Amino acid sequence: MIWWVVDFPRLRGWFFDVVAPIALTSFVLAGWQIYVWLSDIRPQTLPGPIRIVRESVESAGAIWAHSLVTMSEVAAGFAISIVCALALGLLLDLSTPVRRALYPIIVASQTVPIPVVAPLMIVWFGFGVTPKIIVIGLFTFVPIVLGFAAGLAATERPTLDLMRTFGASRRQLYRYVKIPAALPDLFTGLRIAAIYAVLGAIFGELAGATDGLGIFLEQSRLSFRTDLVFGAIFVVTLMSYLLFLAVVLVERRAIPWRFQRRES
Amino acid sequence: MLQVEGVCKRYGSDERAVVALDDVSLTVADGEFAALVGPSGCGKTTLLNLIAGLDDLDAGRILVDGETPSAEERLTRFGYMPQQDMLFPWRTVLENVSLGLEVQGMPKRDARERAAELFPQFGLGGFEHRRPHELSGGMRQRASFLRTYLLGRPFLLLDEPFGALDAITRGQLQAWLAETWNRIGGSALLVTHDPHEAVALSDRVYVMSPRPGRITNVLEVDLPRPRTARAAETETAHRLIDLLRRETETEGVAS
Repeated sequence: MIWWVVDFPRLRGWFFDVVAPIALTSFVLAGWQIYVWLSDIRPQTLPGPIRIVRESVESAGAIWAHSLVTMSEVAAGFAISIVCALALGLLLDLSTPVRRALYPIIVASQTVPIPVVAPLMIVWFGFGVTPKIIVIGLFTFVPIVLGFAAGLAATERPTLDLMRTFGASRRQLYRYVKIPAALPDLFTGLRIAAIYAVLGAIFGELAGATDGLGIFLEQSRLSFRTDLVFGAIFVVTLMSYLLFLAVVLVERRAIPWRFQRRES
Repeated sequence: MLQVEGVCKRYGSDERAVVALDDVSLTVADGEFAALVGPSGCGKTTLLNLIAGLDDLDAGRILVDGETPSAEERLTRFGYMPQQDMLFPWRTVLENVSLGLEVQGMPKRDARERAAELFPQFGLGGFEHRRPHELSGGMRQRASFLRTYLLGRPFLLLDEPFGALDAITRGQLQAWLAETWNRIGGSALLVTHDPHEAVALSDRVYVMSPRPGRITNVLEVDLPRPRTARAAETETAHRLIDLLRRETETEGVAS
């Protein structure tokens, strides 16, 4: 009896956006739980969803405390990464020699096996927040720089010519044209970066820290609390998702013309 | 007064270099509306860009009121209207149109006030706070023209301003520009591949041939001013249009 859902496009859109993913997830979770019940598998090996929720709620206080630490690391790391990436993206566009010199290094920085390097960061910068910020930076910085630089470079010759006949200075060219034109590409980079930011914090913590979700994860794993490992993973996912959503919301405010055009 | 004397432009430096313009000369007197007609790829836009100071010439000189300003200086001597409307989606129509004034240092509020006054005259009244994508092609082109006109430069360079429009809108805009020109005056050089457009709007037509770009003929358009929307419908006009059509077509075949 879902004929009305099919009949109204708006409702149909809502159905597929919200109901469908929830239905699919519920289906998978139910299958998982049934498997755990039927197979009699040990909870240390594979806990069922019900147990995961129950035990995680039990430890909610601890998870919340560790989450706060991780969230503040993510906030600081992501903010610093964005500021540095914007500055560098601008620099890459302003100067061809700088671009030639830095571009390969920036790309190379993304190929560094971070879990291996992270412990070195602890040796260099100690157990404080600095190494976490650097690891978050390594995870998030490159997509932002590349997105922003590509957006800045996308302004075409005829547009530049028009601005030149206005007598525009370089500063005005960036302010009135290049930077607004680069925003869509910048936000594409920011969205990718947002997905990796929390992961970066976890890797930073695993290398050496006293608090944070990474530490909670590691402790739960070492004490065979697989249920809490799953609970913490869920919180990490949720955090990444919220950060991603925040970026999308800012994007909608920052470049409304892009969405207006699509809708019209 | 604009004088172009023996201008040459090459692209590339080796033996495969393409000669875009070869010894091109033309004159546009003060208050005159001149057109440069030729098939696409004949170098007419190249010539316009050289005059506008957007590119450097290889030989010849460009005089403005008897002086020879550098390319850098010419950039701000002419009102340049590009082929594409280039209205930015992140600005409203009013903000787009007043951008040139803002860049030149006029306070934002004054620039927008000045621009807004002319919106009704340019058939844009009521669309000040819309986004460019909400406008029709013809309106966008009028907005682009207003943006150029507002710079207050007495000599306009128009690069196929109606080239991207459909035939009907294009005819309407030609008539509109002919009548608007009666009001605003000034001098202009219009680049077009459309003989009808050239005759309807201008006092003199330079015909250009491609590869290398050369001026092959100059026609005086002996139609009365002020021009009406129907100026190009008279017999004199038709004769000129036919003549131009034959010239540009044979040149096109020869290339």
